[in-house]
Amino acid sequence: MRLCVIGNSHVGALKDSVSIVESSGIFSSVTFFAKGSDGMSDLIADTTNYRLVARSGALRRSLELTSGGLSEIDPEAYDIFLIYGLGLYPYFRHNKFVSEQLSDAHLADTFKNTLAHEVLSQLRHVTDKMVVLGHTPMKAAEIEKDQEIDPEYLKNIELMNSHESLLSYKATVISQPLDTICNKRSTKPDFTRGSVRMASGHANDGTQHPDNDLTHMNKAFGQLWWENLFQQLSR
Amino acid sequence: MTNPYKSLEKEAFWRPFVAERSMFDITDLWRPKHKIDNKTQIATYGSCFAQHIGRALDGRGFKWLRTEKPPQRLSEDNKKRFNFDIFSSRTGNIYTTSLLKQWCSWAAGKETAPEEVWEQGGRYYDPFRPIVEPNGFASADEVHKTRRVTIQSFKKSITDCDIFVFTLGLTESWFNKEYGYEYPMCPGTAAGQFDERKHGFINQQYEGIKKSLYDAMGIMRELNPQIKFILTVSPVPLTATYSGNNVLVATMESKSILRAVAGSLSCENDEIDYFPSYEIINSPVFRGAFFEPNMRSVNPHGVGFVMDTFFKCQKLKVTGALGASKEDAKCEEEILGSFGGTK
Repeated sequence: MRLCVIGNSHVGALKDSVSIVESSGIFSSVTFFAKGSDGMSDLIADTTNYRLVARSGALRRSLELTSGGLSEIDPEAYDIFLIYGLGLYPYFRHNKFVSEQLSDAHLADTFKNTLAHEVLSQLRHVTDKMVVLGHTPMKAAEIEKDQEIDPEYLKNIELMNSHESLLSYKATVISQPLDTICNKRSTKPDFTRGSVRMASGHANDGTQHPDNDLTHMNKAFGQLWWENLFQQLSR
Repeated sequence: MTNPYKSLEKEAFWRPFVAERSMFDITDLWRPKHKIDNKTQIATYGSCFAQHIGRALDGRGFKWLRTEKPPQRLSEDNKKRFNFDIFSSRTGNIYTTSLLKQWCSWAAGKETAPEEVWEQGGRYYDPFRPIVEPNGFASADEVHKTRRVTIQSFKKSITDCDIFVFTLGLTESWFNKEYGYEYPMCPGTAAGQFDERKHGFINQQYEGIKKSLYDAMGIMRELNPQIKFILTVSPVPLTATYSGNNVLVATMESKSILRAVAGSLSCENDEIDYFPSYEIINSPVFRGAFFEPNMRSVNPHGVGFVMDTFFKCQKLKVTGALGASKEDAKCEEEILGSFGGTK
C-alpha cells in the first residue's frame, strides 16, 4: 500500500521515524506533504484534474520540499491517506454540565472547526479512498502520581467516529498510542525531548524545538505512533 | 464681584464645552471613581447594551471576567448560538434591578430558584433564560442542571470581580402572581404560554427600582466586600410597552427613572459610579447620529464612541482597536417587536 501523509509541523515526528515504516512491509511507500501552522489552508481541490493543488507559491514550495519534488497531490498515486494534526484534537466533554444539544455541537466543532476537516473536505472532492485522521498529540506534562489514561479518551474517539459530521466523509480518527499518555490527558514528557523541526523551507528547519515546547513530539513518539497505526489498520 | 461659578472648570459650561465644539470633540464626559487597569477583573451584566461593554474590554486587552466559559474548541458561531461570552455568565439579559436582585438572591442561597419549566413541542425552556439555548433543552432536568451551573458561575463572577458593571434597561416587568418571582420576558413571547391568572405586569417606579438595586448590591457586598460598581443606563428605546402609554413616552419615562436611580445611588456611595453611555447616545447634542434608521438600534459607530469615551476617560492606553463595534447584541426584548402592528 502506498501512503500519503498530509499535515502540519506535527508531521515531523512521523517523518523522523519513517524508517520503521519501510521495515514493516505494510506500506510500500510513504509520501509526506506538510506545511507548518495553517499553511495547508491553501490546499484546494482541482476538480478538473482530480488533484489537490496549492493556491500559493509558499505552499507549493513546501509541498515540493516535504514530498521530495511533488508540487501537487495526485490521489491515483496513493492507496491510503493520513491527515495528521492540522488543528484536530481529541474530544473531551466540557468540565461543567451542558445540554445534550451543546455537547453534540461541541463534538461536531471539535472536528469541523479544524483545518483537518477542511483538507479532508478538499480531498473528498478528488478521491473516495481510505482516509485516517491522527489528532494533534496531547500536550506533554511531567508525570504526576496519576498515570492513568482518561477512561473517556477512547470512548470519545469512538464518539467522534460515529458522529454524522465524520461519518459523512468516510474517515476514521485513530488514537495516539496509549503508551505515550500520562496524567489522564497528557503526553509523557520524554516524548517532547529532543524533538526536531520538520524541513519545510524555513530558516530554522532541522533545529530542535525549544525546551518549553510541549506540543511537538520526537522520533520515539513517531515510532510508537506508526506501530499504533499498523495495529489499528490490521483490525 | 465673585461667585462660585467663576472657579469652575470648562466642562461645567455649555457654551465652551458643547456649543463651540464639534460633537466628536466632546470629551471628558466622565470622571471615573474607580480606576481600571489590565489586571482589574470586570464582570458585566444587564440589558442588551451591556454586551458591548464586555466585548470592548476584551477587544482592548482588559480583563473581562467570564466565569461560565464555553467548551474548548467550540466554534465562534456556536458560542453565540449558546449565549457564551455575552455576559460574564449565561444569565441572558437582566433588564431590571429586581431581576438582578433575584439572581443575587439565588447566588447567595437566600432564595431557591423556582422549579418552573416551560414545555413546548417536546422541548423545555428556562423561564429565566428563555433563549439561552437554541430550541430549548431536551428535558426539565437539563434546564435545572444548566441553570444551577449558571447560578454558580454568576456567584463566582461576583466573588472574583473587582468591578461589577450593570446596565439598567427596563422598568416594565412580568412576574408570577402566586410566588412573586420575576421573569425576564413576558411568558408567551420568547417561550412559554401567557396565562393572565398566573402572570402579572408591573411597571416599576423609582423607589422600588432603587431599593432592588440597593438590595442586590448589598447581597453582592456580602459575597465580596471589596466589590465596586459601575452603573450605566441602556440608551436603547423600548421595543414595546405594556404600560398603556405610547411607546415613545413610555421609553422616556422608563429611561428617566433608571437614570435617576443610577445617579442617586452613585451620589450616595463612593463604591458606586455612573458611566454616561445613555447621555452619549441620547443627548440632543449628538443629534441621534448614533442610532440606526429605526431610531432604536445603536449603530456600531455609536457603540464605538461610547466605549472609546469609557477608555479615554480612564486615561488608559489600549492595545486593541478603538472605534466601531461590528458585533450585534443578542437582545431578547427585540422578540416583542414581532408582535407589533397586528391590531
